[in-house]
Amino acid sequence: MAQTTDSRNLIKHELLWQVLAFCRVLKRMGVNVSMNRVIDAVRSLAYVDVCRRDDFYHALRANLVSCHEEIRVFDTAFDLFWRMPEEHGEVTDEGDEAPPVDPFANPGTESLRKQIMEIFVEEFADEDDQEKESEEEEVASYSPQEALVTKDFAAFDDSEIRELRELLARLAPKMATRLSRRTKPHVNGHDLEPRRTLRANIKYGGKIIELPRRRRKITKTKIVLLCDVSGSMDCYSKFLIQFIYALQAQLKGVETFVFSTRLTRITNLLRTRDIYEALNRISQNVVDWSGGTTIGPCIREFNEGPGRSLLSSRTIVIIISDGWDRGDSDLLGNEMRRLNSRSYKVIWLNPLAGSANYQPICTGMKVALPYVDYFLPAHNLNALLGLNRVLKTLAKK
Amino acid sequence: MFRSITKIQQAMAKQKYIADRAMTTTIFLANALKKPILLEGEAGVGKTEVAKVLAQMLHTKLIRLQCYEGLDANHALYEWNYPKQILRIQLAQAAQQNVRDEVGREIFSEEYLIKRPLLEAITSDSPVAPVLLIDEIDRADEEFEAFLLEVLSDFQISIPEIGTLKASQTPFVVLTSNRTREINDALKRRCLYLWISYPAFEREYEIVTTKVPRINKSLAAQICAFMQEVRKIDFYKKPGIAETLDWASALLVLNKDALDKQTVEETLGCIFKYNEDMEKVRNKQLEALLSSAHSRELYMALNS
Repeated sequence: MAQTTDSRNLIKHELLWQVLAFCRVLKRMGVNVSMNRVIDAVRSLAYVDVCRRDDFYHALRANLVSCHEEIRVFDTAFDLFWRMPEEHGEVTDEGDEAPPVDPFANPGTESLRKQIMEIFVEEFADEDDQEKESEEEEVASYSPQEALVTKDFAAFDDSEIRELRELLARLAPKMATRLSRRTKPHVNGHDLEPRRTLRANIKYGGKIIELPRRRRKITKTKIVLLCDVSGSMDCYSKFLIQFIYALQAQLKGVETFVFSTRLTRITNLLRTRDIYEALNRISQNVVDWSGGTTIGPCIREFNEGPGRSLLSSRTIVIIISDGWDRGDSDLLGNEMRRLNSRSYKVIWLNPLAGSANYQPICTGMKVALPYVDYFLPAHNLNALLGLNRVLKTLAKK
Repeated sequence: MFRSITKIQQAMAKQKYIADRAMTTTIFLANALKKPILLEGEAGVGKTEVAKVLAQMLHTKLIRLQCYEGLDANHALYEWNYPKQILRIQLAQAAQQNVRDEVGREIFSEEYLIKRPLLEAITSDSPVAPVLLIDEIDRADEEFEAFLLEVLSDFQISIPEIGTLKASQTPFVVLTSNRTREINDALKRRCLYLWISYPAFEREYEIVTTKVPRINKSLAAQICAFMQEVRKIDFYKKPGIAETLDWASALLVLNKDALDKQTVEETLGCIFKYNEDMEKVRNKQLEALLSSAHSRELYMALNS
């Protein structure tokens, strides 16, 4: 109240700069902050009491965050940026900012803080330095994609992983559109199609004689992914999980499981925007990563458990495995037969099948093969594009 | 009502919705900035309820568009009432009227228009802008999102035969998503984002005692404590507030006033909807869950 207009304006001005800087930091942390959102965030501050820390916080958050995963980054950055002596006190009093329910949210916070601190330092460092740095970054990220498409996943180095991820992210939506569902004209459809009825009957002078119908074009295909993460798959599974992640983010009705000696459902674990977080969650939750392989019991576990509700004549099952099985091969054969009979198509992706002289000689692969509709390589991106083609033809039918 | 954040909180409480500061701030801003709210959160945390409560407290109409796969503009926007049009033409012909001009104009007037939710929201003439709930947007196709984006950005709809209809007042738009897939960034950008998490113990307790007022206080505390523990475990489908309320009402009907092993086992169907989850609880964790629920309740009794 006692403030003069001048000093108030000054405070506002100061706050505006701080908010803008905060937005820049968020953006660099990968939060999807657009100019529009920044403007609205600033506009919002005019409506709330910025002296109330929780209102200030919620006003910014509602505007700047656009998915659940970003909240953690936002919270950490907010805490660092507008650290208060009493730290959170006010917020927890309200009882509404309970500690995040997400059990995975905590472990990475320290590294996240560090990362944000680094950005703070950079952000407020010399402008010249900054420019130089961003230039360097661009140069480093440039590399021809063609080479990546045919390169064996096993030979990837860390710098190429990011590129691969972008490619995968672009590939997955293409698959998604192939599997969507639309209506199409059909002689025996259930719904009348009024627009076409009118048009078709104009030639009879408005008397309704023809009744065009439409019905749903059923291409809604469920996909179940069973990915082998045993030791022998190590150099591939890391990439394939990323592929699955990209696929699941774009398609509805994808269920994902990993197995080596036990089956673990990871659909929910992948349901996060941040691939690192997803990988992190998986490594915490999958106990038998890089273990031995017993494919048979795992398929049985699937058939008898989640498979009962997931399998139908419209389900495509994709198994990703090299087929090295140390278990009972009769069991594997039996379970594969059950799996095949209860699903639409079974696709087996084998990373080893990429080499020219590959023969499915290991017992596991041999007994499983009769029950596999499509046997495809999965050692590089080109091979995954092959999967795309198969899915496309399946969706057409 | 929209004068302050606290006022909203009170108004919502009057409608028996216990909202936290994050939600009321977002609602307040949505009204001030005239932006839609995108609500995300686990199933059963009361996303849809928000829109209903908003409509009630504003004394206005709730217009709901339930999204589903294959939802298209015809079902969301408007459709001509073709049978009625045809009948009108045939009547005119029978009466030897000139169909071309007069009737031609007539059958493409608003009278022959079937208003679907989006058009209804835009043409609403109620004194207070209606609340438009676009429920489970993640179920609709991506194409529909693009279309929705257009409608939400300027709240006008062009009907070739009639002209452009513009909303006289911006509807209060609430979108909900269960995150079975990612929503288009462009659509997200138009909205204020609100994530509703499972409530903390105190808030859940408040919700239960508000919504099921006849329940015994200590039973309510036990139920909430139990649910808090349950949500720490990874289930196929974690129970939300909806399940808590169902369970509380069920226990009330059964005249129970404390949780014991048998009671929980008998009513497990209120909390879990998958057999695997029920087995999981029954097999190993039930007693541990119960004991921590009881100690939580005890702790609360000591503190109050």
